[in-house]
Amino acid sequence: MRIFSKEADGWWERLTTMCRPGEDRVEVRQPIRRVTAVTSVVGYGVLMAVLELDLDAFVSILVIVAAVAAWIGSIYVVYEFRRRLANAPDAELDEREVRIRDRAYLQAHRIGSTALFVVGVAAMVVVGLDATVSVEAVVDVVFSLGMGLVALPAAVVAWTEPDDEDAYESADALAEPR
Amino acid sequence: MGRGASDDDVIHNRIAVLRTERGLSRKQLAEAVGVHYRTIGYLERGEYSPSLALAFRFARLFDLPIEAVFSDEPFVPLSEQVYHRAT
Repeated sequence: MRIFSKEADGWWERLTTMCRPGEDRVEVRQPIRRVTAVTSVVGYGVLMAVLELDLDAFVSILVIVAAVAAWIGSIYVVYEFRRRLANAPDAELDEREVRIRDRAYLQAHRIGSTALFVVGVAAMVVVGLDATVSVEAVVDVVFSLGMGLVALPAAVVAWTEPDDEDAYESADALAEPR
Repeated sequence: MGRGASDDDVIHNRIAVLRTERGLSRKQLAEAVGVHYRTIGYLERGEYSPSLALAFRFARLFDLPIEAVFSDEPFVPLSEQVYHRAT
């Protein structure tokens, strides 16, 4: 999606709000939400890894606290950005937002289905190799998958929508025309 | 077959001009037609094409025929249309 932010409150914006999508639009996307999404995944991965590893107790606690903060904090940030759009019912959204939400759910469905398939195949391979799998590991995987599937639509919206939308819109939206 | 409207199917509009003419902010216009104010921005920038129902709501609000507000061809700038001057 294109957002032009070059001189957003100046002559360039006034000229280009004539609704002719021009080739000279600048594609700008501040990666805040993508960074938070990646931080969340990394935090969760580190948390799971530390729980599985036998580390020094003090180090474990430090890493666990940092990983949980990164994981939960990032989820909170992503949700705050796009909670309304990703989870609201039709009555609270307009047609453009409904379209974005539906597209996010479709993409989340595809990603989730692929992830479930991959995990399922991996599980069958592990069982086929007669490897010993701990109940804790199974619980971790199931919990991770469940959390991931629940958060996927919001994550997709956060990943695909531009960060600077609010900043761009607010200048003109709330002001009376001169 | 089965292909819906894509992001490439741009419907051009004069919402920005008409809104400014009538002294409306994006938020006021959004409330009048029942959409979020961000959607007005997307429409004005040509980054979203409205449904037929929404297009009619705009036309009714501006009290103009729908083809005066929306077109599948780019609108001729007023300076060119009225004064025959290329911009």
